[in-house]
Amino acid sequence: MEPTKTEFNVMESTQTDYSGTLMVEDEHELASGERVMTLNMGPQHPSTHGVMRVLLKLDGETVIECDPMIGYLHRGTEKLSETKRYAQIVPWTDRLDYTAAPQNNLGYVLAVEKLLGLNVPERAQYWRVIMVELSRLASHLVWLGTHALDIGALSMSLYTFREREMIMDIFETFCGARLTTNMMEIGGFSRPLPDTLIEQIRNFLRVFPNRITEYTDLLTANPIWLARTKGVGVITPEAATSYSLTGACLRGSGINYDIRKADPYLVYDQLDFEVPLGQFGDVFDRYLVRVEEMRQAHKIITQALNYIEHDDRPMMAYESAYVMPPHMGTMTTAEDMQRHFVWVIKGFSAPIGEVYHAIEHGKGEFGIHIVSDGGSMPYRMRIRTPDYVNLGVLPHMAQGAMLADMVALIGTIDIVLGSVDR
Amino acid sequence: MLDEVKGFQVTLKRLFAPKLTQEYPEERRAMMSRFRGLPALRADPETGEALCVACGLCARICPTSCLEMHVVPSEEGDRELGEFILKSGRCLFCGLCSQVCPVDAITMSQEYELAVFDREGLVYTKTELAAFGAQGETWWEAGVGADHQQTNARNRFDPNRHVMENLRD
Repeated sequence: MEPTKTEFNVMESTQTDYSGTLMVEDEHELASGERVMTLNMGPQHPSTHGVMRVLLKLDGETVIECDPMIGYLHRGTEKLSETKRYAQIVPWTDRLDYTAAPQNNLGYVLAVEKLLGLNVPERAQYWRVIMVELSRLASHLVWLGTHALDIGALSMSLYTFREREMIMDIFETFCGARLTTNMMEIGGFSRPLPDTLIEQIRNFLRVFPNRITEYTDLLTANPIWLARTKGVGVITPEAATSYSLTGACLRGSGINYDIRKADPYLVYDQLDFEVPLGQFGDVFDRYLVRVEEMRQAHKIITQALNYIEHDDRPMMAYESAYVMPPHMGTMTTAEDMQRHFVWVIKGFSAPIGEVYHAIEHGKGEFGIHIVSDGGSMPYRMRIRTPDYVNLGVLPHMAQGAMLADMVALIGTIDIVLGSVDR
Repeated sequence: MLDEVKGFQVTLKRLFAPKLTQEYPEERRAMMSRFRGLPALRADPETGEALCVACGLCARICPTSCLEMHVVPSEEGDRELGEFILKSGRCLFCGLCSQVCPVDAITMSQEYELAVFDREGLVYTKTELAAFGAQGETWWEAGVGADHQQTNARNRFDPNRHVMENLRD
């Protein structure tokens, strides 16, 4: 029997359509007798937090329809990962959500550890929690500063970046970099802790509660802030679930879903913290939720640090082919040196299989799906970033909103375009 | 009403608080001892000889292939480093190269002002990288005391450890 011929449907080459997926025609007659106005917001608009273009159809100042157009910052991280060995991919994950690099690192590293079935020592798990919560604070501080800046409270970013600077200093002490940290390693932490680290974190924990009070004093009762945020961009619980929102966008609408509680990873089930929920699902509620999350993150870091401060157990799962041998061993023994060379040159062969692991990122559910064919590189790696999914609700929120509120709506989703475009 | 005035209190307090801003080119902050700047080649602090044994692990682990290593046979019949090129325009400053170096020959220096006028300036050669390399400790060793000692003690050679049998494939 002859093999059946595959018929290809040759697409007719058409001119690229830049109008997006908007349904409303320019010639559409509005009830007010006006014509529809098409407006481009971005890609270099300061409030789009990166490079995103929002195409708007307007009736006067009211938004009829909007279409966010993304992809300006696409680096092809997923495809790139297929050509890198597992340990080499960690630096690339820094560049997804660059305001919260340790969280991206953690999401990836946990997925690989799940694939390998690797047990990480408890001490390393606690330090991971501390670093990730610090990074959640850094991410929320950037969000609060820029969101308030977009809406008009110019000085907020000066206050929030002051505390973020302290966190960046802690990261720099811990791993050597401030933004693109490459902090987590598969198996734990191979490097010893710097001497000044705990003192620095204690110092930060001491001042931070007062600083949160400063933010809320500046914003929560500010009449302009209230007028710009209350009742704006309401997402009902039904809409929030149907758009599969996660993170503060979901919890702002009052749905109690936090992966740290629902499907605990690391040592979150041993820590005492609460998940703040919103009531009305508007911009203001999401602001309150994120501010409360900052307080909870402070609580988590304090608990974890109290527990782990005087611990001196190892930080790396050593007895495994999947992790790099201890440095001292590499320099002194032949076995470790051989293992080290194999680990670096060939990498390790991961078990065949598929794995998905999600963490509660500062912005929502950050998940990594790895398909392994048994080689030293992922066969396919899919990154589920929270911002990309959350951005989908923007057209829903923008319908009938005022043009001036668009910056508040974009800001409230808390997107970072590096993470949206990947 | 009182709540609305609170914001002004914060602003007023800030007016009399010490300034936190540093005016960068005039004032420079000291980087942390573990800061990851431009990768650099280290030399033996005592003899001044280059530490590199030309094994090529750094070039192998580099996620962007920004390191280029040329190996030549040495006079003793061994292998030694011929030329070592760092294309810093591709460098991610992730520190993996210095992490995998078995002899701590490559480290992350404190150099961070790396702007140049043309692309050729982004390519660093062996001599330039050796000039950046500190004589002292490798980047992650600086500023670690007690914890490091304990970690080292624990990692001493243990003949009963059969790690090789775990190696798959």
